[in-house]
Amino acid sequence: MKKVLLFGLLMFTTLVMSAQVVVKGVVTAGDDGLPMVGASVFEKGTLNGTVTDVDGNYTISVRDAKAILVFSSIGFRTVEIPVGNRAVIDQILEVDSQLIDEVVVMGYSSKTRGEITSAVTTVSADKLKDVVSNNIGDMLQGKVAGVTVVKDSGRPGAEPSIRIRGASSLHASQEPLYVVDGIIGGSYDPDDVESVTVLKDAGATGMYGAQANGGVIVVTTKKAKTNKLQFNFKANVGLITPDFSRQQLMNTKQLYTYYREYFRDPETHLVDDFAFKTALPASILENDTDWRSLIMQNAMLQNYHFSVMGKNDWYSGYLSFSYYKEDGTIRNTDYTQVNVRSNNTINLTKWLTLTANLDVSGNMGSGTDDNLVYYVGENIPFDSPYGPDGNYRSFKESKLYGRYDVNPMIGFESGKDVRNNKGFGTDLDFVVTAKLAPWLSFVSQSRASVGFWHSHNHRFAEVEYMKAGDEVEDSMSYSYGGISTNMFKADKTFGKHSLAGLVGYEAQMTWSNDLTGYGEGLPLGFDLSVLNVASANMKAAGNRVSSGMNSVISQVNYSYDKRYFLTASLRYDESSTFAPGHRGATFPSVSGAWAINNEPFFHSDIITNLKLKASWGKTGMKDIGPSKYLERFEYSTQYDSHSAAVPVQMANRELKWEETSQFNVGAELGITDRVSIDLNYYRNVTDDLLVYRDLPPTGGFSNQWQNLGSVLNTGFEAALSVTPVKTSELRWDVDFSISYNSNRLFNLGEGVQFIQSNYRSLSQIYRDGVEMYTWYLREYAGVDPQTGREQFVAEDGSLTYDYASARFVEAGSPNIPWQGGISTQLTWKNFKLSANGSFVWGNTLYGRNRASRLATFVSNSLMPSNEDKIWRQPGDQATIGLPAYALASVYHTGDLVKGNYFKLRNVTLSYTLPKSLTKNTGITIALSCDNVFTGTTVWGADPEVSMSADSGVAGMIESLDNRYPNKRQYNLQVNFTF
Amino acid sequence: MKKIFKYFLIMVAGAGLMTSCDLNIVPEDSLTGQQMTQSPTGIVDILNGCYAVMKDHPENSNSNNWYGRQFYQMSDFSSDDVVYGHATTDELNMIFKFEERHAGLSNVASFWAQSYKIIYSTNVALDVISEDANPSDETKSLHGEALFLKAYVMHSLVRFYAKPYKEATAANEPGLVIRENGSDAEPKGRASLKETYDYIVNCLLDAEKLMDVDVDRSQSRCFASIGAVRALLSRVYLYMGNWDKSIEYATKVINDPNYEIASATEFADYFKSTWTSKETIWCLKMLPQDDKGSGSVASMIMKADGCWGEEGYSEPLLEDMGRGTSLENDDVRWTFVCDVNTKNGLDLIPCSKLSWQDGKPTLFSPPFLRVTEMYLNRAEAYAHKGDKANAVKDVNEVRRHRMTANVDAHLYTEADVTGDPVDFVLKEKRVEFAFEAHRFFDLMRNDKDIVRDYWGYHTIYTAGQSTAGKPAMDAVGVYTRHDDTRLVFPIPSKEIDNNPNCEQNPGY
Repeated sequence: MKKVLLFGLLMFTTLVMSAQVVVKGVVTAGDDGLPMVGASVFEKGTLNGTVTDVDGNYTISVRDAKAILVFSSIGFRTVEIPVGNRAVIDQILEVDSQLIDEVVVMGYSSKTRGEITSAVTTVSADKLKDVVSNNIGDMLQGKVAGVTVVKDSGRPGAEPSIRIRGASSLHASQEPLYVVDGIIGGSYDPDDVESVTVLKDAGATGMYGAQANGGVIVVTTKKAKTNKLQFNFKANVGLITPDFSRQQLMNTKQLYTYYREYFRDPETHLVDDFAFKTALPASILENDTDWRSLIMQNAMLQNYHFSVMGKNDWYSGYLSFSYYKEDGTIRNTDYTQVNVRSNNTINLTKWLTLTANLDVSGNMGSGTDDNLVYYVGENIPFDSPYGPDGNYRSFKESKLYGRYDVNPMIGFESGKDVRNNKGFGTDLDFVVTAKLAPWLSFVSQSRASVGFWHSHNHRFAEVEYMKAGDEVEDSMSYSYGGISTNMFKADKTFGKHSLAGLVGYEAQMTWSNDLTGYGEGLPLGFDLSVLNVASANMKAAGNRVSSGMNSVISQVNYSYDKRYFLTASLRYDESSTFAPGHRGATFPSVSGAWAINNEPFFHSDIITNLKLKASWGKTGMKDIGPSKYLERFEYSTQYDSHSAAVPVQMANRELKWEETSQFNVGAELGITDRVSIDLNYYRNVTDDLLVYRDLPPTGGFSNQWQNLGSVLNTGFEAALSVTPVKTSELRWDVDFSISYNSNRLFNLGEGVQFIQSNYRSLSQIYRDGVEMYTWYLREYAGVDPQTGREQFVAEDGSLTYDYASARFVEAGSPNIPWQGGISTQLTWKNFKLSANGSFVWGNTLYGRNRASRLATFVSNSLMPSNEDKIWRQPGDQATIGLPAYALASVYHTGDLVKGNYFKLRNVTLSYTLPKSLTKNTGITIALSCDNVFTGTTVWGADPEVSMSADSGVAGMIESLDNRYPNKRQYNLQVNFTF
Repeated sequence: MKKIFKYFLIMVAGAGLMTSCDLNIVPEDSLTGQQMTQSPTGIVDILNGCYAVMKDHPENSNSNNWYGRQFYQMSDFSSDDVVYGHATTDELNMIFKFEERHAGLSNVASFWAQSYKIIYSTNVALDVISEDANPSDETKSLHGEALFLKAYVMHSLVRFYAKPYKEATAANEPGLVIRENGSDAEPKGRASLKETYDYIVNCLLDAEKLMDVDVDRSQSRCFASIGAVRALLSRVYLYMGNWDKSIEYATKVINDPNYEIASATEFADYFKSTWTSKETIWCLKMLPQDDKGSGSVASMIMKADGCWGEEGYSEPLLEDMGRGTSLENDDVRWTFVCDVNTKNGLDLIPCSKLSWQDGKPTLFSPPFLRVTEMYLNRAEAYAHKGDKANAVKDVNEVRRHRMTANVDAHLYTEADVTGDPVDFVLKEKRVEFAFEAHRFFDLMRNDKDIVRDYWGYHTIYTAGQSTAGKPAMDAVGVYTRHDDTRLVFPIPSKEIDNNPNCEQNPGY
């Protein structure tokens, strides 16, 4: 009957409208597989259209089979589908991060992408989540032009360091500022993140004034999108293996042959095989211990995330729970993180909205004593950890070829050397938004945070260790703080003019207390290890630190006819970091854009977006720790149990903000929906650099905080997104980004230079005209082919064996000039294959691992590279000299290496089960691998190294024993949405 | 209802806008110099801080780089008393290897910086105390203590970083950068060696007058006292070649009933609690919580838990101690000689002298001045003056207190002293003060060359190499003339780079 009716209806419409076709179907979202409400379906070139209902259904009548249906929805890529002979067209809409109308969260305010006037990059959740990690930094690696993410450790839970647009400070913090859900600071779980916006120039970061020199990362957590209650469950299991990059260790046979060189006579150049065999009998070869493999393991990763969200007229809520557990590739190490988030928004009245977001997180980590790992690294394959009975033997009384009388395996195996820590943190955000008039609202947003951290270390006497006996140490810190921002926001349109702005006041304060207790003499033979049971040498220490800042913020946005955009902001900050009189600073910014494609004269079906933008502004940095301007006699020690005060800091009452003036010009180009290009050039000048400057120690202090000199960072960034193939079933996207940064110091003054050595005499020079962190080392001239001795270049250019009279030269810097990333995604029906990688090119690193290998008799078994050659007789062109003459603890240009690398960060293959099988449940299965491959010029170590001078030497590759190896990760992920 | 909300909103807004932080935040574990010097207890705390700097490293958590360890290593590892038994990346390597010394060494820089930090503290205290028109006895004593600490630290510096004092040339040789007061911090050149020594002596002479008061603080051997001032005067005059003054001050201390040379039985345990013995004039008290473990003074030379044990007694030192003779049994100083520990084919003989306070192998309160030195200072001064009889008498006084048996058999007569009587005294001092940071200075100021004709990593020895026979005298590191430029430590590059007026020592 129905069919008859339908037939009749078709006949009727055909008669009336001549050859009309009815098409229907379901529109679903590509990210979660759920039906889309309110998506629009148009017939191309007509006004004929409809929207989808609550279940995503639509029905539309089109002219004929040649008609093209246009499916669109805000935040999703528009798709055009020819109708052909089909009566049912189910369409999946993919999330699009490049759409002009996309809302970009900028922190204090939000803008649509079309209104943006500054250098801003947004990365949506689906692009972040290919990498499985407990932090956003790992996920951003290689995905944003101009952003350097460096992770030099594979320790479970370790977080990378992030630099935006080059090194802008010598000794103040360079980490970007995090803003979570519009409020400075805060914590979040990566699984709860909806999008991340990276603010790169002052046009955008100027609003954050004194905290924004390192750029700003704005994190937005998830909110309900539809009225339908939506559940999501993600389960991820992974296998982690250690990744040593190009590092290989020698086995007994290789090392034995290598050690023979130590018996080469410096006079005769012959090896004294008698002495060699006497000292190192061939029986050594019977043992071959791969020490590293004894403590390394393949480890498990588990990550589960469950969320539910939904909304109605008066309430919108999101609730999630996540669990992340990562075991370490070094035994006895792991990290666990649990997070609960509850985002709630209540529309109390038409004009009043309350938001209360709660984030509770806890983490636990177990570690192992770094010294035990160090001992393992220093041990050589000649020595066996086992005694004749097959158990781990004590090294205290054994004959050893290695250096240490410590068998670290006793500690590893017994579980009697415990290092663990626990952290707990809660953020409560409370936001009141009141619409006072159609054009005016008042927003009060506040966050209260509490953090608690505890570490417990103990070692029982039976663990072999340099220091005998047992000990226990507990540290706790408790911190709390708050920030409150209160602002009026206005937004009004007059004809083609539209004007928006905000003005407000912000206050923030943090307090932190810490406490450490230490004791020895734990009860023998029992597993008691709390501080109470210690019986000897008890020590306690504790301190309290606080800091605060008051700010006034303001911003104006103006646009005309969606063609001209102008944004100006002004912020005033006052911080407790500096002395009265130097606490306040003003940070202005102005930026503008011209959307050429919206001009009446501009007609193009091909160019869909063409925009020019420019910005200028100031940001600052104050993160050097509290009270650095004060003279300080510190009471943290004692003498013979009497109070004792030690001068630890020299006063500098003139100390003030480090300020960066940033200039940015950029262009955006969109060609159809296939190609988009974003180009930016910037020129950033940081003045009054906060420098912990060396002083002549005879004045009583070795350093003082000063404002000294300027640094110029200039560079460009290019991002290109291309969709070479796009059909209804097959789609291929490629994103490519590249950036160049050049760094130069100036304004230090004529003849002023300072040389900084943060690790022994490994020094870096600072003077006008050079790059920051430029290596300043004695000049190495290779191994003398005649004698096998290492040579240096003396002051007069002649060659010398005397290290002390070698001249110092400037020899490159670890600053990264060229870097970039490439990612690609291939979608075919329900399959998706993606990969992303990043590269670094042109920096110079110091290889401490290399230095210790070439020094004689520092026992480790790192394999020389293929390019290395050992000197054996006069005339040999060698890289490794005669051991008898080898120098230890010398720092010269011979140990500098190029830091170039390419890393394939991730490959993922995923498959979404067809709807027909799963009914209303969206199920996606993904297989992925993180840190797939590294190609590098660096031998013997992972080329990703720390770039901060405040916590060590920028650009030093740590020796093999002092670094937690990187990891490779294989993941299986299943995602359910219903 | 709506009105209530609006009212509520205005309240929230008002409260929010009024919230502002008090930005006057100061550290809660420290005070400014100005705050401290307003109170006498503050000045005491600053002076206590001077001792604390000698036992801690105030700016670097790397506990290896502390004043005491660097003092002992820079001195003894430069001498002919110690075998370097294991190559290391620790910069103590360059203490042994003179030819590899350079201005960038962090241990040499650390000793320099910490010494001047102490000088700064004493200056801050002195600036205030010297303003006091009517000082109490306590204040006078503190004044003297500050002067003593400044003089002690300066004398230790000048011994490392300048040539030995010679009356004829001292006015033309560079000495130290002298920091006169708490605001004297700008770049400044080095005073002459003569000016430096005169400055030290003047500080001590003033201190002697000021400390001639009866206060509780200076009763403790852990703090400065008039005895310590006089003992240091005896030492400084000896270094200046002013024999009469050295004898005068040594005698003053020897005659002071507060001090008494330890008997042989006492001496065996003396180093376990130096602050309790009348042997001690001044020691740096280390509490159990100050134990530096593997970064301790003992660590490199002792074989025990927590010790690296990579260095040991040299053959010539053991010869001078009477190896193979009855002295091995009779001389209490042999009790510190431990069993052989073989490393890399080298027979290392560890030393337990600087260990075992509170039963801990790495804990020890260094006696920077002890009364036995006064006997040997006096003996050396007599020897220089040609008074062999008195020199032998003082040396015998020391030996009488070091023999557990057959005392008389081990005493000398004038006839026993066949060579230079100065060498005779120096031999006794070498044995008595082995590993106590005297030998290197004693050689330097007496123009004695350093001869290290034994195997160790100061030579071009490699692991496992045969140690039969001695290394050739012309081999690297074996024979070093006393006037070799590398025996004077470099002024640290941090000073040179930031203080253009400061002159570097020759050869760096």
